[in-house]
Amino acid sequence: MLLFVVKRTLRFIPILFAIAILGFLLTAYMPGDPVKKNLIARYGADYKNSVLDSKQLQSNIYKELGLDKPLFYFSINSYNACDTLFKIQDYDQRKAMERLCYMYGCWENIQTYFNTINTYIANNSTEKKALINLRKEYENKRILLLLSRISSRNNRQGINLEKLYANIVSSKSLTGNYIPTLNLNGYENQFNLWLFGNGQQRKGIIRGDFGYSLRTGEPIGQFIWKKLGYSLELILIAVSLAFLFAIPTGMRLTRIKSKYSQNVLNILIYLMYSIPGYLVATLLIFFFANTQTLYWFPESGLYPIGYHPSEHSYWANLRTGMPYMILPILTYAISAFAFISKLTKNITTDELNFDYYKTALAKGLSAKQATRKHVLKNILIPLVTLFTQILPVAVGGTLIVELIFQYPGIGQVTYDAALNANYPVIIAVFTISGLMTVAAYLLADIVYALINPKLRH
Amino acid sequence: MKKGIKWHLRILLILLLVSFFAPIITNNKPIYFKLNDIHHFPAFKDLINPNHTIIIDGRVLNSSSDWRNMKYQSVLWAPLRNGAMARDPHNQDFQSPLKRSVYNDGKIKEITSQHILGTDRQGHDVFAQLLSGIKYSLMIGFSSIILAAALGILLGAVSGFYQNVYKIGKGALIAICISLLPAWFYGFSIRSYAIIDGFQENAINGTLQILFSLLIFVGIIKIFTWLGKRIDKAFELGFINFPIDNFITGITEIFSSVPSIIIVVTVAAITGGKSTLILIILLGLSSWPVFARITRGEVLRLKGMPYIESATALGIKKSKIITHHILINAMPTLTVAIAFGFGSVLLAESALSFLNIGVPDHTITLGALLRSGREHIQAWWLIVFPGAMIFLLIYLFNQIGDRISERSNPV
Repeated sequence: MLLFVVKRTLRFIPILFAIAILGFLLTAYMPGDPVKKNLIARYGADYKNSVLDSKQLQSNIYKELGLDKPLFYFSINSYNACDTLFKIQDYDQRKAMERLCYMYGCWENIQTYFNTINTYIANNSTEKKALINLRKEYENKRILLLLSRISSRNNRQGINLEKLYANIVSSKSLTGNYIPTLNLNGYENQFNLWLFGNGQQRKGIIRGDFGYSLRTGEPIGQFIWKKLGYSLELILIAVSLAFLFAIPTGMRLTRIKSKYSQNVLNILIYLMYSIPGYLVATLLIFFFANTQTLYWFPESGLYPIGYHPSEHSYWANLRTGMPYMILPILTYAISAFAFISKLTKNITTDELNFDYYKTALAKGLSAKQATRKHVLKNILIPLVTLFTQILPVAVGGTLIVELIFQYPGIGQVTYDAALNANYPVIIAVFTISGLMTVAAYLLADIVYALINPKLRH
Repeated sequence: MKKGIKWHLRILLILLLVSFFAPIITNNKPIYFKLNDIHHFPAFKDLINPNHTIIIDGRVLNSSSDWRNMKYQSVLWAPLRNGAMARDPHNQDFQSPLKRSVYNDGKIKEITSQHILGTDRQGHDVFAQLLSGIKYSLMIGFSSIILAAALGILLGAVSGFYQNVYKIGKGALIAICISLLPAWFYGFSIRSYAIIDGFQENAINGTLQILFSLLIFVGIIKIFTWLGKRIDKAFELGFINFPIDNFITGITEIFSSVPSIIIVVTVAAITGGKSTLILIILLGLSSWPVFARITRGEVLRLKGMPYIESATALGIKKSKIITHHILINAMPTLTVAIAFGFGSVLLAESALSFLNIGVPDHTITLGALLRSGREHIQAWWLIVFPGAMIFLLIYLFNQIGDRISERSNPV
C-alpha cells in the first residue's frame, strides 16, 4: 500500500512542476513594474517624499524579488540581445533598451547612449525631466522630438545625445536578431528563487511563500490559507449535506413504480440540476433576506459588524457565523444535491441488472434492504471520487456564491485581486488551485485502492 | 419508451431564429424607409452590424437617434418598436411590464406599458435585450465548443489510437527535440513585440499574430521531423517507443487541474481589456480536456472491434481508419459530450457576465441583465425573464445530451 501511494505521488510531480512553471511565467510576464508596485504597497504612494532613501529602497526590493538574476536555468536569446539586461534596475529604461536593441541591434551604441543620459541625470542637468522621459522612449519620432527640445535649451548635452542616437540608427543591423544563442545561467536564477527560496528573506512557494500583496503589502501566505479555510468550511458542509440527502434519494428513485411520480421527480431533479447557482442565490436573497418579503437571514458577510473572530474559539465562531452561512450553503447544496442524486440513480439502475441483486431478492430481501445492503457498497467508488473533488472546487467553484453573499473566502480574494491587478495574489490562487486538484486526484487514487484492493497492483 | 429530442431541437431552432432576426422583430429603426428618393433598410443592416450609421442630410443617425419623429416619404416599422440599444426616455427607472401610474393634469392615470417585458434603469427595453443576449450566449457557446471539441477530439483520438506504442524513428525524435528551441525562438521569442503590439491594437490583431507565430512554430517542427525521417532512412536507425498516451493524458491533467473561472480571471487581469474573442478562446481552451478524455475512452473501446482489424488488414491508412471508421462510430457519445459542454459553457459565460469579468462592457448578455436586476431587487422582471431564459437554454442542452445518451445506450 505504501509503495502504491509513493508511486502515485511521484506520478504527479511532473504535473506540479508544470503548474509551477506556468505560475512563474505568469509572474514574470505580468505587465507593469513590480518594484514600483511593491514600493507603493509597503511605503505608501508618496514613498519618494518620505524620509527613507527611495533609491536604496528600490534596489533593496529589486534584489529581494530576485530581479537581479536571470529568468530561468537557460535562455534562448537572439545574437543582438544583451544577456545581462536584468542588471539594469530601472524598469522603463530596461524595457526601452530591450526594444531599441530589437529595433536596431548593436548593443554597445545603445549602452553608451543610455549611460550618457544617466550621467546627465545624475549630474543634475537642467533638463532632468525631459531626460527622464527620454530614458523611457523607444519610438523614433518621440525620441527625435524630445532630443530637439533638449538641444534647443541645453545645447551641448542635446547635440551630444543626438549624435549618439544617430549613431544607433545608422549602425542598424538586424541580421543578428535572427541568430539564436543559448545561454546557460546556472541555478542562481529567478525561477529557482521563486520555487525554492534562498533561505533568508524568500522561502519559495515550496514552503508557502507567495510574496507580498500589492495592495496591502502583507505577505500573501498569512491571509490566503485562512480564506481558503473559510471556503473549505462552506463547501465541506454544503457537499456533506448534499451527499447525506442525495444518496438515499437517488436510490429511492430507482424503486418508484409509478410512471407518473417518476416523471415528476425526474423533472424536479432536472430543474434543480439546470438552474445556475447565481440564479438560486439571487432568488434566495429575494425571498429570505429581503426586508419586503422574509428577513430570516442576513444577506451578506460572515460575522456581525464589530465581531472579531480571533478573540473567540472555533466553535463560537461557527455558531455566530451560522446564520450567515445558511444561504450560501443552501445555494451550493441544491445544485450538488441534484447532481449527486442523478448520478446515484443512474449507477444504481446499472447495478440492478447484475446477478447478485437478483440473488439478494431471491434470498427474500426486500428491494429496499437489497439496495441498502448490497448495491450501496458497489456504487460507493464513483461517489467517493466525486467527494474528493471538493478540494479543487473550493478554490474556483465558490467564486460566484462568495461574491453574491460577500462571503470572505478565497473566491472573494481572487475577484478583488483581478479587479486591482494584484498579480501575486492571482498567481498564488492559480498555483493553489492546481495544487488542490492534484491533491484531490491523489486522494481519489488512494481511496480507490483502499476500497478496491485489486487496484493496488 | 424512447424519449425524443424533436421538441427540444425545435425550441432551440426557434430561439436561434428569433434571436438572429431580433432587429426585424423589435427595433426602434424602421425596417424600410424612403427619404430623398433613396431606399434605406436600417433594420436589415442591424442583422450584420448593430452599430452601423446612416448619414442623411449631413446628420449621422445611429441606434440612439430619434427615428420616430423623422419625416419620411414612406416607412415600414418593425412589429415592436423598441431597440436593444436605444433608450426610451419616457420609460426610465425600471418600468414594470404590467401597468404604471402617470400624473397627467393632476390626475393619476394607469397606462399599459409599451414594453412587453419592462425596462431597466436607463430605459432599455428588456425584451429586445433578452433577444440579443440569447444571440450572444449561443454565439459564444457555439464558437468555444467548436474550438474545444476540435482540440479535444484530435488529441483524444491520437492518444487512444496509438496508446503507448507509437513507434518513432530515433533520428526523428531527436530532430523534434532539437527543433523545439529554434521553433520557440523564431515563432515566439523574436516575434514577442509583434504579438504585444497586435494586442495593444485590438484583440483580433493580437490573436492573428499568435496564430501566425503558431504556424511558424509548427512549420519549423515539421521541417525538422522531415529531416529526421530522411536521416532515419539514410542511416537505417532503429525505432523507439514514444509513450504518446501518457504524454497527452498528462497535458490533459494539467489543463483540467486549474478551474476555468480562475484561468479567465487571471487572463482578464493580465490583458486588462475585455474582449469577446479572448473569452471564446479561453472558454474553449478550458473545456477541451473533457472531450479528450471521452474521445480517448471511445477510441479505446472501438479499437478492439473486429471491423477495425479487418480495415487494418485491408491496408487502409491509419488516419483514415481514425476518421472514417472510429470517430464516425464514436459520434453518439461525442454528441452527448458536446451537448453537455454547450450547457456548461453557457453557464460559465452567463456567470462571468453576471460578475462583469471578461465580457466587454456594454455588451448585452443575459448575465448582465440579471446583474442589473440584482442592483434593484424590486424589478422582478429583470430577474425572472433573463433567469428563466438562461435556465431554459441550459435545461434544453442538458436534456438533449441526456436523451441522446439514453438512446445510444439502451439498458
